[in-house]
Amino acid sequence: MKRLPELLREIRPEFDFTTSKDFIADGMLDSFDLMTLVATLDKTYGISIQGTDIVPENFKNLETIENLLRQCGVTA
Amino acid sequence: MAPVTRLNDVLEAVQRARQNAPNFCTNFFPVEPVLRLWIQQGDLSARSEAGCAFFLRRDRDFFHFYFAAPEAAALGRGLAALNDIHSEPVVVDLIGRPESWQPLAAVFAGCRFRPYRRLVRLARAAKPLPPLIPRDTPPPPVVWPDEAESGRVLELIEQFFDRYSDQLPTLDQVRAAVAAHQILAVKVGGELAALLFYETQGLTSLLRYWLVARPHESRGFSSALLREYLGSQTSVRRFLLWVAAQNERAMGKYLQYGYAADGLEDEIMVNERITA
Repeated sequence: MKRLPELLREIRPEFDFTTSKDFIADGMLDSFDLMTLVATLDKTYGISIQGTDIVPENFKNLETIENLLRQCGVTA
Repeated sequence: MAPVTRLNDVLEAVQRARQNAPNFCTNFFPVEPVLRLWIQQGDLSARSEAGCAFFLRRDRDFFHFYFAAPEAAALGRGLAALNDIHSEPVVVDLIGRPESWQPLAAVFAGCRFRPYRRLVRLARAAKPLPPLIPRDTPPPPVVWPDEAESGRVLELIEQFFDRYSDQLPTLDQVRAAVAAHQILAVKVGGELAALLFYETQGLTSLLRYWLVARPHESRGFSSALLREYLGSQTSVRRFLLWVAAQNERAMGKYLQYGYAADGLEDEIMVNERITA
């Protein structure tokens, strides 16, 4: 869980993900970035995020992504 | 292919393809509101084959083809079972870094598709503009087009850009962009002479179309538009655009303004029904 900001910085190094409440509305992640992020999270945490969970609400900010990871069985 | 009527059907079909698939591959990246619109307009149809989800979306006189596949070999098997798609003109965009799109291009090449065009994505961090080169005759001011000019805006875009590769907007999208002041123009004698169409969302801005009508080339209109665009987006941190890899003239201009390739490419392939 601690590595999430680092993973996001690897995808979009020009943004500070700790300051935004909505990565998508703030233009920090686009749809290509989302797919990259999903693949990165799957690989890093050994999970498979469901297609039905790949919706903007789950990728708004660090908190919502952490919630999604918890639902997928990732523990802090 | 069967018409799609529910968003969840799409998401679940993609999920079936992703399940336990470490080599999952896709070219399907729609944001939810866009997906809902396609479904609502009846533009999207779908079919599952060989563990893959396939989608066709109508656009003008052809179809965009999308897939979600557990891996490239399954994609090939699924494609081989979709003979009916070759009765229509079909375009597929393979988006990614070369190492990810090249194996998929080989699969499509084995299934009656051929390379059509390659786009590269350019990115620019927010930074000061290069110095303005003074001209003897300064260009007219940059303005916003009127709503009544939306049809002419679309006409110019359709005239200058390729419908198969450039994801041309609908008239409704042009109207919305005009209303949102996301189209800049230079006018001569009251007529649109040059345009720049962009989409800004938060810290990122995408330049979609930039054109100068032929009688007005080499008069500084394009630079005036680009400078106005880049200079006005003061909160944007990342500027993006897609350009044809072989369009050296446009590429040179973008590089001059600080854009550089970010590694993402769009290999566009078409089936035999498209002969252009």
